[in-house]
Amino acid sequence: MQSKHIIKPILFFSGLFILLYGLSYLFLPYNSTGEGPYKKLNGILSAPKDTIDYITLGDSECSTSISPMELWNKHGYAGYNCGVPGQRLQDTYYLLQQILNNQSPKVVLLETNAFYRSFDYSNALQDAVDKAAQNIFPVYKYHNSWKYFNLGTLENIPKKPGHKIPRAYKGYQYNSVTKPYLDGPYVHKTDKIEPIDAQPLFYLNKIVDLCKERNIQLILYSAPTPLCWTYEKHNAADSFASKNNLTYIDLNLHAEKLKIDWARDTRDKGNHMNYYGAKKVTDYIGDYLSEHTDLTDRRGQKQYASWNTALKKYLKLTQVS
Amino acid sequence: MEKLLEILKDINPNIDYETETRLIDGGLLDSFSILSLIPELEDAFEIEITPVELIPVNFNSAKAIWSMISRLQEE
Amino acid sequence: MTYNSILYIFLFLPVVLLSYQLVPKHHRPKVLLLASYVFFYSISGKLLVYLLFSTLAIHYIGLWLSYSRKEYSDRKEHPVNEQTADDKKALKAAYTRKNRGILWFGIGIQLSMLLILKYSDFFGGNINQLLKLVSSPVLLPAFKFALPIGISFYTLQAISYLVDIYYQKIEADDNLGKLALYMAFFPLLMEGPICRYSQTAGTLYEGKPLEYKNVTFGMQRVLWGLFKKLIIADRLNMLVVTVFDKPDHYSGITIIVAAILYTFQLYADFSGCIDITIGTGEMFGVTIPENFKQPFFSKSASEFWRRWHITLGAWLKDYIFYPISLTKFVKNLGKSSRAKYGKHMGQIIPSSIALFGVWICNGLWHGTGWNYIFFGIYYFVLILLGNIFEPLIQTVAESLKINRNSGIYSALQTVKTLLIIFTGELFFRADDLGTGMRMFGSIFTGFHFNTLTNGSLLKLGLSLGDFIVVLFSLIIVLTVGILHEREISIREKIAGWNIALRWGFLYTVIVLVIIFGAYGGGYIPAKLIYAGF
Repeated sequence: MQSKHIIKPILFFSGLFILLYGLSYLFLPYNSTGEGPYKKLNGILSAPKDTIDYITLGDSECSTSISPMELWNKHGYAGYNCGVPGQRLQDTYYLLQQILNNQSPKVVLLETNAFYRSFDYSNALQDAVDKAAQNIFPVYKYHNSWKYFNLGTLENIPKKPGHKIPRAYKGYQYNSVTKPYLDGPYVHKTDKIEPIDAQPLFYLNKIVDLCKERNIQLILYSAPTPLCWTYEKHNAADSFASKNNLTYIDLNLHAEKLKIDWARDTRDKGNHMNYYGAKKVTDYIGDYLSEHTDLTDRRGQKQYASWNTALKKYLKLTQVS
Repeated sequence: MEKLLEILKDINPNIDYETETRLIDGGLLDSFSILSLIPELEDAFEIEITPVELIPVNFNSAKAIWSMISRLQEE
Repeated sequence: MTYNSILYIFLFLPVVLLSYQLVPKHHRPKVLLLASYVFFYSISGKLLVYLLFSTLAIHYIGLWLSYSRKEYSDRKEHPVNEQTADDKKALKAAYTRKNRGILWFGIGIQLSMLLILKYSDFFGGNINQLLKLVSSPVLLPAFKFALPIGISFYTLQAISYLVDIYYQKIEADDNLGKLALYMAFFPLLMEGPICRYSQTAGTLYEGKPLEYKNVTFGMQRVLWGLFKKLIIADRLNMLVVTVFDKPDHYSGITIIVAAILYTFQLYADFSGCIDITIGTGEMFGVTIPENFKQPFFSKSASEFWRRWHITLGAWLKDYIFYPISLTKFVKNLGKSSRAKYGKHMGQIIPSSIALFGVWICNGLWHGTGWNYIFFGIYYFVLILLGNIFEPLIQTVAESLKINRNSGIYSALQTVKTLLIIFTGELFFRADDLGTGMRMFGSIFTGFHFNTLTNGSLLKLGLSLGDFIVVLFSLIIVLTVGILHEREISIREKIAGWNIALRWGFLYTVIVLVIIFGAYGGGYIPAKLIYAGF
């Protein structure tokens, strides 16, 4: 092979690399509460040692359904939402391990949707490659924003905060968009069980063991989601919980008590909660925590002064204009 | 060869078979005409034409058809 | 892993290319074979054994056929005793019978695997419907097997290999690796095209070194495939899914729009995938046969099928149409009907039997629903009618002095053919035959022009921006189609440009695909459609 046949492709792909990198800057969203699991973890990993009292774990059903700042505001509990969209249980397990290096939460809330996220090597590789591409070239992730492109977007570029997620959210994935779910009741009682695959079950047991070992009260919960939830899945989680002496709160069965309004409280036609739905879920969970756990109200404590500043910021960020 | 030309004329009398060399490629004979030609050829020359012979090269001209017939007769 | 994933394009393919180039020549086919089995395994896992079994079966049956043939020619050339002409005939007949038996045995193995895996559900279900009708107390147990990827494609390749040996088009190969690669070459696994042994096996096994031009041209072809699949097909999928999932919510113009856009989706999806396949093959120096030739420029239904999924049409012609046409029964039928009804019907009657076989197979090949069988019969009837009335149309055109070669006449024919295609694809996509019928009927019962103006078309999952992107992309596809019709090679043209222009152009296309590709948030990931058949 001639040398130009080596140099030319290298130059071509370097050019492409630079081009995509530059474009990515154009496509980065102005106000992103987007996923970015690594950036997000910075928040909890850099929190002072043993200051976090509870954490929530799971996939996007977790990250969109509980807002720690609401709990702080109402009960003074200091906690963090560690839900990562698309996360599988083995990653959840390693994440928990990592967090426990520096924190000793009393309570862990584990969302159940990821029980059915089975691990398949080919898919896992595919996801990893996709994630890597999204991290290197945000344009790959945010390319669809061409739909909202206008000249104003260009003017906003210098003001862009990059992927920074406001720390005040404490891991909660804020979204106030409403796309109603209109297909009516979705809870149909049955005795059937949809078994949890061996692979997620293995890590689920490891999470249970780890919590026992560290004396953490583990609570399972299911966020309201007509699209992902079924009674068969409920039965599986329920029997797992009773086998392991765990509490299981299925919010899908308490939708009326929660006063979920499916015309307003979901951001994507019943898949995830939006801000309004998350507030209701968080309130319910808060009441449960205050009754059934011995979490402490930290509001007056000096060490937690920064949480009050964060709250002010949070209230401003979530103010609906 | 005379016999062949006669059969061909019967299929489509408007073609000059002695000079035409693109019967198939030129679209003058379609696969339906070819298929109705085959039983005639088989009867007239006591040969058996199998699907493998059904390629354009064998049917593009009267000469090509003739050489296919001669080959099959020898087999 | 699918062809349109980052994993395939940026990891799998480069790794295979690199390993292929780095190993010694005689190991290269092994690299390809290993990569192919990895690819297969990544989609179908342990079902790989089916492919291995098919490969072994045709390998040994092929050798058996060729051995039997050699035995025959030995006995013919070197007879033990003096042979009369009758003896020779008897010998030939005996071996013809034997070879035919071996061939049918081989085809039987391949077909029964396909039938059991793919069709047992359908036939079992229909038999049970019948049993229920006569209120039989016994029903067949319901079976549904997991299908290995590409079985509909590689089974046809396997059958063509055996038949080609039987007809002495090719020799049976004692090289198992070469045959295995022919059956499993990874770019062909998901959606074909259906190749013949004589077309690909040789170059696949040669282990030619990579060539700069082949690799760059191949990459451009892959890029073009991604353009069609990601920008057009996956975007249109949103609207198509919306309408076809709730067929009773829509009627009139909405159904027409959905049928037309589904046809374009199917074309962009299937031909886009084939572009990636052929482009991948090209990188390794392997020429994979074309599967599309600007199908929407066809002037008749039969021409459409010579331009759309070409390799399936060619396979059905060679292995269904000709063999049926040349059976004694059909030949005799031809002769007698020619004597009775004249030349024209003498052609039509026998060929219609063979055509019927072709179209039933075509319908069934796509899947096991009555809508697919309807789809096959629909084209059978249209093509048959076309043949029957051709002389009549010719006479009418002559007497009215209509020039059938004029531009207007061919334009009208193209429009007619497009209507036939769109209607066919409506039934093809519908959940079942009944739904297809209802949707077709609702075009007329629910037809209102204001559907076009009241904004209801924008509520089907595609925004105005999406429609504009689709429109522009389709114009690009049309332009490329016209250039190809004029036999202009676009990649050769691009290669002639200076480097700034060339790179600028390629960068633009890549960026267009990345930005306007319908993937990620807001779009449903769409599977390759034909990989499901």
